[in-house]
Amino acid sequence: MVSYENCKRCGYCLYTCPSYKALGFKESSSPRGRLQLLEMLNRNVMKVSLEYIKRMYTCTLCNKCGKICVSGINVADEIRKARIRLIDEGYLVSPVIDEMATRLRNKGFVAGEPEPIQAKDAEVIYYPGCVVKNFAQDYGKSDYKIIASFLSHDARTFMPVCGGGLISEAGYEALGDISLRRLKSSLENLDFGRIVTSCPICLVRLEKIVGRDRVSHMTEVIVELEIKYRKRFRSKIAYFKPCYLPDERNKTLEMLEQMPGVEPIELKETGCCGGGGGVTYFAHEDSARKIAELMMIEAMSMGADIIVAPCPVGYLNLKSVEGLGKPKVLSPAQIVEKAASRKLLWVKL
Amino acid sequence: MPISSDVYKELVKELEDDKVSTDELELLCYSYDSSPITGKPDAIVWPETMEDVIKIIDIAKEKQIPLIPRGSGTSIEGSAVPEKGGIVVHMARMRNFTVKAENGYVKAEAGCLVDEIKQSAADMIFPLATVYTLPKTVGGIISEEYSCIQGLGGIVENVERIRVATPEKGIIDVSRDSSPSVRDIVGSKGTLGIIIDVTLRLRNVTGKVGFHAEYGTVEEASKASRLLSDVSGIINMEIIDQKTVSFEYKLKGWPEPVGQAFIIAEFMEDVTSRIMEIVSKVQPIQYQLYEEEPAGVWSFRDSLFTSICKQNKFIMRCRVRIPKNSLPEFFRGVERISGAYRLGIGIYGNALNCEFYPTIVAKMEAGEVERAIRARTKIIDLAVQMNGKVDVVQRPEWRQWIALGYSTEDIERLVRIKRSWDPTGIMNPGKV
Repeated sequence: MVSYENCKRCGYCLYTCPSYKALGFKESSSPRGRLQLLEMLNRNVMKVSLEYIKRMYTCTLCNKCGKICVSGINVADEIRKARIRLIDEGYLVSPVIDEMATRLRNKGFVAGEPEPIQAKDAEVIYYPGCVVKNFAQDYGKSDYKIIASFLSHDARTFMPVCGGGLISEAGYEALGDISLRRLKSSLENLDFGRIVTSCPICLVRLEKIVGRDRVSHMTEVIVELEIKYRKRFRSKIAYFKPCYLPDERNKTLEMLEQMPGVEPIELKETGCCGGGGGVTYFAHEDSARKIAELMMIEAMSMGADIIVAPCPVGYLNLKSVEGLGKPKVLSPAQIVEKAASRKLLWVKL
Repeated sequence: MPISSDVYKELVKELEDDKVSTDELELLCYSYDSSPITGKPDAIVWPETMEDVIKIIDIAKEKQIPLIPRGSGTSIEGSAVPEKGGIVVHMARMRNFTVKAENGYVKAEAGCLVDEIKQSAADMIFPLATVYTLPKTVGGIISEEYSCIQGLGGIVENVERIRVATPEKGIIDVSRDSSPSVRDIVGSKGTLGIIIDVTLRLRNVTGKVGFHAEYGTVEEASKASRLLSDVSGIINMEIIDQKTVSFEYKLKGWPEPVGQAFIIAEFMEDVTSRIMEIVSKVQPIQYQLYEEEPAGVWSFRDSLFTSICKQNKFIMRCRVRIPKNSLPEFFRGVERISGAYRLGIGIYGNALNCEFYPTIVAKMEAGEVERAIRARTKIIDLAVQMNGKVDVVQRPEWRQWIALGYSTEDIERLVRIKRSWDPTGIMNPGKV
């Protein structure tokens, strides 16, 4: 692992960074700036401050910088480590995130009422994740409709406890591990075929527990179903690659290509919704929104009617900058609802 | 020294809150660029319009506060770092540009990325595009006179106009024919004023053949490069030494290069027969012609810097220009410095204007950084010696200019213009 000390200050990372561009081109909000802050902290040139903490949490961990870094530094991992150090040293990093950690520790969920969703054995289980469960129920409803209509009428929604993904990314690594173990033990006695989720962080964590073959991202399921779409559904749909969704699990483009009237447009320039897996979205909503605004502007400039968000955090963040004359933000399942030639089941979640 | 709260309030009043910062964390982040030089500013400003720049200059002039223009902070000479505190003027938010491909020019604000213009200019060649432009800004390339596509005339020949904001003369529009001219602004490192925008030429040029060769000795490569530079239609040519190439080979798992020096070149005419004549005159160990995809010759060069950085924890670069016929002597001199300071030093650079980037590499073991700083000084001294001005160096800050091929007459002219445009010396003080 190449550490931040290897930074050559070449500046190649600057313009890959969504937060650098969205937050006014301030060096401290750039990858190079953040790495220099780590170095200066390490050399005692400066101390931890609220501004330092903010810089560590306005990074979305998209790692576009890391991919281009001439020294091979995985900048996102360096920021993750910095976050873990802050938590380990007892710093409060954000009122919202810290509150989420407390709730998770005490009640098993980061937000909302701790209402575990238990399920009986089923062939297909839908795991919404905390963001869908508490903040984007419409996202989950559409997911479940697709699953119930096309995949398995007996599908169950299941969320006995939070898997701790978001909180782990925020630096509460130990708490995240405990949550993952809790989730694992709650799955042990359940007999199921596969789990479906839209949450990329949940997907990666569920994979660790049940294995890659038994958990699917919603876009994988949609593609697999080979749904028949109406030819009259015509739209220019902008898509991006969510930071936390591994490329090989993201079938958004394939999904759009299955729709005859749809023209997919890749959002390469921004490529980051600003949500940061939920951490930036909840810790610094204003910064997350500014990054989402950049993506919205790019989508508009490309003439998109819709932006598809295969990640619930991305969905929420982009929705916060939706508006008149701007592309509509929809989940993959919501697009399928609009475009499918068959009526979908009415479901109560 | 921190700026007073009155100055801060005045800046905020004139520019708005979000365009000014005296936050300690931000100041620390602006205390470096890509050079080993550091210096902490007292404030940062992010102008978004020419009017913002004028207001900044007016306030700084009244209070005699140094101003340090900054693009992406990639100077390897410390140009973007304050020597004596002051206000860093970060031009990144001024990035509008208009490409007029049919007329063959682009007008770009100083903060525009060269790469973005390159992409927008489609088939036209943008002569400011060096092999490795990311993340350089238009203002930065011009202020530093970075080597660009020399075969198309270098920076001066391809800049039509520059608009500069100066402390004493306000906004000045210079062209190639005016006095002072574009020539005087290019390479001035922000010591004369703040570049607002630039009008640049675009050229409708397509490469026809690329050439890549490995030579047994630096002398042979130097001789070959001199012959190749006379071939009509040359777009660009670089020379890279064995040490630098060995990083690339090592990363790829190839055996150590045999040749002492490598040439990469691209031509806009079909000059294959002329190249073959030169090959027979000065025989390389091996060579390759790129006729189907001439620009592909640069893919080797593109990854060099990454190869160096991935394999070394620490690098320190400098930039020099040397007389063409001194090339072998310079390479040998750097090799001696490398031995004397027990550090690896690779050299690569433009063979047309002989601008080179000696790159010192280290693993960050004890004492290496200090030796690297001394080695860097020695390399600059070597270039100064080769440019023949050792006995007339009057001020230490002129060393770097002379190492870049400036004559004392050039520097004195720069100083005269500075006395007229910036008599109290607030523009990037300490740099000239």
